[in-house]
Amino acid sequence: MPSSLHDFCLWVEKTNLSMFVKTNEWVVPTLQTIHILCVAIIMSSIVMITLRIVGLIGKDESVQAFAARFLPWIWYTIPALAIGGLLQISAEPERSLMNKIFQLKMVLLVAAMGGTIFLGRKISASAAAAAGDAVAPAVNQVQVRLIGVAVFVLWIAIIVAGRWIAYAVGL
Amino acid sequence: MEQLFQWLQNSPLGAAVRMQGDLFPILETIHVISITATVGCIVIMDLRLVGLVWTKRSVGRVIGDALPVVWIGFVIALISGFALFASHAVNYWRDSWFVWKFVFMAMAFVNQLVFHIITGKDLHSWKASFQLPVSAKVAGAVSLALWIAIVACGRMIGFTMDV
Repeated sequence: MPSSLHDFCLWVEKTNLSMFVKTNEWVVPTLQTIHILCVAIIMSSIVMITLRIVGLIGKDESVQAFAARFLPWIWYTIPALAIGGLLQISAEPERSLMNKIFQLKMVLLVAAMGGTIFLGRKISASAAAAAGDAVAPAVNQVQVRLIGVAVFVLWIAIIVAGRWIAYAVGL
Repeated sequence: MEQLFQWLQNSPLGAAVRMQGDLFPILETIHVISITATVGCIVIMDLRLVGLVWTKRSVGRVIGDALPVVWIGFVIALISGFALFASHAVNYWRDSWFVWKFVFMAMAFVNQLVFHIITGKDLHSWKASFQLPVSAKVAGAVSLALWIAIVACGRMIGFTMDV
């Protein structure tokens, strides 16, 4: 690990914010509870969208209607997760920032967010094509399914990594 | 009761989860994935029932979309949770957050049962524009509050339990 990241961690540990989070016993469990509830919102949203895409639920309604109902919730929740996550990091920066699993989780997060944006665009394009918009590119339904499932797997991988941070301290 | 839990803790299952390499964190991971899917889908149903969101789709349809995931996730959470419990059954039983978690789950179950038997017995005839009865909105709000409390209690166990 570069010593600069280590120095940064040492600096963070001395800030008032870090002191506040680690000296008040109720703060970390409260942050973690909010974090899990936010993850639950993302998880259920992506489950609903994926199940609709593969055709297991809600066939009386379009894929686009499902995406319009649930995709925004993923974006509403991510800022709350980021703020809560940063507050938790402030308490013990080395435990997370220098943790291989945490670093992997952040890479997966970027991939999942990119994948979710891509999925939303494909669904809109597919709907436009189905509506007979001549300018809209043809979108293969199989393609939408594959992207949907891949994005779902990425979000699951983030949860797995999140749980394993605690077991990878010092690796 | 403690004797039963002591027996469970000493059983091959309890011993395996307690001592077998990564089994405990693997089960925890399965537990977290299943509870986030389950609780998230309950939140979806509750928010619709309170009438806050997605009012263009009927309550019956939203419940129909989410309920299968709730039950599948719940069964997985129950099995993985039972195996985790077996590893330190006596200690979990002595942790008051653990006990409260189950008290709240029992309350959530009764709330859901009352809703399905009484308030929502003609649920599937409710159109999207149907003016939801106050009792339905209350059932949704109560469920939401209970499940938030259940998650909070579950998270607290990790901080308070003596092993």
